[in-house]
Amino acid sequence: MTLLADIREAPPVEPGQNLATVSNRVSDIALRMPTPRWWWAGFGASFLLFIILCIAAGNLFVSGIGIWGVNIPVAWGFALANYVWWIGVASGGTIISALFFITRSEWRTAVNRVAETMTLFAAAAAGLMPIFHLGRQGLFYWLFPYPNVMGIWPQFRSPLLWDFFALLCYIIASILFWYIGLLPDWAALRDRAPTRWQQVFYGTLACGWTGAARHWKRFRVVYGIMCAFMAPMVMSVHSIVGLDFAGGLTPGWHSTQFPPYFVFGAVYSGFATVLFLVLPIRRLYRLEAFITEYHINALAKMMLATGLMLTYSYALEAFMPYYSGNPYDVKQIRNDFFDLYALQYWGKILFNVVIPQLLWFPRLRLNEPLLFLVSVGIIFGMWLERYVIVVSSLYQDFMPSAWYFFAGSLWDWLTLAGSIGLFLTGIFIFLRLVPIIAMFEMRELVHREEGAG
Amino acid sequence: MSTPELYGIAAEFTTAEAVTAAARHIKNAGFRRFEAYTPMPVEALDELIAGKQVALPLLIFCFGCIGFLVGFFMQYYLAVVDYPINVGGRPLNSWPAFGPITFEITVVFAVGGAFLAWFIFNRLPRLGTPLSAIPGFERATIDRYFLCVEASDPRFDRARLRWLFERCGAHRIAEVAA
Repeated sequence: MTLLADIREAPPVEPGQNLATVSNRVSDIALRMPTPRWWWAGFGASFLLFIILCIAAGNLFVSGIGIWGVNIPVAWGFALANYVWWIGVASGGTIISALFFITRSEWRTAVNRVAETMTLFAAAAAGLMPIFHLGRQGLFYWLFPYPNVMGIWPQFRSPLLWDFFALLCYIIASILFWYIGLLPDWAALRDRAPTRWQQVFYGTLACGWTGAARHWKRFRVVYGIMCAFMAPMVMSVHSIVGLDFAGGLTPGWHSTQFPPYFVFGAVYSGFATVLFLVLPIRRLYRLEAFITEYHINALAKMMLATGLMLTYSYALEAFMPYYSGNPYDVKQIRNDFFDLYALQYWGKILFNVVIPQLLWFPRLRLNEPLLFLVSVGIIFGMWLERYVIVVSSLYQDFMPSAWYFFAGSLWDWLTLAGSIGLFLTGIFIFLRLVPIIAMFEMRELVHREEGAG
Repeated sequence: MSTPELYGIAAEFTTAEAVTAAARHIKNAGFRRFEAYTPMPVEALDELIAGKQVALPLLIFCFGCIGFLVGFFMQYYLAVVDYPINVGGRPLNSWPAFGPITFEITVVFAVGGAFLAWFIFNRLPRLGTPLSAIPGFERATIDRYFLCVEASDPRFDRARLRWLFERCGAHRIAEVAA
């Protein structure tokens, strides 16, 4: 097939680029380009959703958890599903950036900035959810081990507390990692800034970076070490999210496969979200020369691969109850298959397992509208997965008298929509102010290609 | 007319190969206090200028160790010494359960330490370098390569450096005021 050969030959950056064109093209987006119309439209819509989040949260703080659909036994509803969903997207971004830096994958260069930024805002959206879900949000600081007049401490043997520490440490480390990777690019923006406020703004962020050889050497040392820490950290963060569930005795949760199962899902949704962002960005900002079909193809293949890992976990999830013979586990998986939340269960199978099989075909992988839709489907499917895990495992308790049908209330849905608004608002601000491609890594790549060519 | 105090002499090059060759010449000529400014990491310059940088990874390792000790013994003290809870007769020092938080705190100490150490080692943040004043230096972050020999170098000699830079194919040579 000629197409296959073409893709294999496709360069990670289009020929004809040099150091100056890389810098000019990427930095002009932030510095000189007039704000495009689509940006105002997208930002406006996202900001509206963000305001909805503020309203939903405000009502929650005033009225309490009762405005949501949760009730015993479904005490974990949307907030937990949203939490796992967002932290999954965040984790996927770090994996792309850190793990594939360690493997020196060339396709990472053009998309790592988008992936890291996505991590930040997704982690912010994720971090809000458990706090919302506390009945008394103002007391969230009780999770910190701080000396208090009650003379007690948090329970360090609980996965939920591990989760608090993991998320907190992860957000701090992600911000530092993101910022240090941006320094050389802030400096490039500073040096090309046409107006005074931009010089001051980017100059402040650049912290006086000049690209001295000693600084570069230390930069590479520190960046490599940070990647080597971030990659296992992100695995641990999402494994701990899995342990939140596995640590409970509830059928459907109490499974040793949950940590890797959740990590697969996280990376999967990370790839889907990166594609969801990168496909339109490269067209709208005309960055086809830097984010080429090579990247699209690589991302789609990685997405397919992680999708298959997740499929394996789904299969195991269905197989183990029958293999163990535990009647409660069997009942749980039969509930998933056939009962009230079967639609959501089969929806997740459709979006996460069946449709992505299209990506086996190179022609379909490079069909951008189709790939975009598949990615959106996966993002949606991943939310369904978490919804099923949380709700379907809880609604039929050990006590039939307590069985309960859970459905999200209006405020549940508004909170979900609002968290998407928070994420997209952040992304749109990033698209306007931050170099959306790591320019110095791109220069290295261009330089290497020039040497090779 | 008195000459203003000198920071050094800088030369501008158009390729990474040229600046590497020039740095090698400068080093072979016995100069020690010089620095290159490049828009991207140039590996060949690492050994010529930056050396091995052993201290930085060691320091980050120490930060990680401190994080490990802080993370573990915080939990140990709080859950074993200060507020022991008997959970089903299991040992109070249930160290496997302390693992995840210990790990997260180790990582955040190492990453945070790396971040701080990097800034301190580089003497950043600062407002600028004397080189910022020379024309065209703003391209050091875009597509040009600069090499600057500092006046504090014991062998510093204006005329000789100019001649050396020219022989190495410098695009432009400028004296940098301190």
